[in-house]
Amino acid sequence: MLVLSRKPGEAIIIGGGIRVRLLEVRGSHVRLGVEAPPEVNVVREELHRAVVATNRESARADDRSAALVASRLRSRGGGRQ
Amino acid sequence: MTEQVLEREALAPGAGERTAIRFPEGLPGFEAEEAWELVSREDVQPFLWLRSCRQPALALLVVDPRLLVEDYAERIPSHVPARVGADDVGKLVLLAVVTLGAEGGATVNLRAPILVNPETMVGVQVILDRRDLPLRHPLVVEEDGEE
Repeated sequence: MLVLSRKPGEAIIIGGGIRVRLLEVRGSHVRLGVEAPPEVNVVREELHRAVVATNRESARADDRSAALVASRLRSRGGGRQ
Repeated sequence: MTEQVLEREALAPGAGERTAIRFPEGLPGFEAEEAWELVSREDVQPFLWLRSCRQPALALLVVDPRLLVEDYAERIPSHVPARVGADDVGKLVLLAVVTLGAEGGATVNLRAPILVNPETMVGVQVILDRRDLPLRHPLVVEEDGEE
């Protein structure tokens, strides 16, 4: 892993199109500003992990359980016939 | 619930049962899988299966979030459709990932929708910067007994 030291106001450039600036240090809290093209997803790591977890859980659904939940949803009027 | 019909038409042009979608970045947790297909099957409606073309045993259960939250499309920030080369969220196919729990319960991930541009059939799963959209929105509450 590349490790760089930065002072508040200083930035690093990634791949030419992404700039990460250290905005503020307050105790154990660091504020970062990220400038990136719209097609680049910038997201907190823990949120990304949570999405990985829900995707993997979704992939464990089996046909029978899916059909059962779907029928419940339809009978409740939450879905379309 | 006014936009339901629109969605289904957008999903399956030509009323095909299977629709190929390419995810250049893969999906979170399945980054190596670029080629997927949306499979529409009567027994799981209103859900759909999003199945990997390379590994057919790998399939995510998904649902159009606009069937569940009427104003869902309006909650997507205006810069997000550009991720799939579109300028208007109204033209996109939206899918939310469904997680099945024990005892017949289910939740849906409204925080990280899958966007598909129907003109190119290219998709991406985005993570929205909106705390009001839960990762596990209750869809069907677990039931103790069978009805």
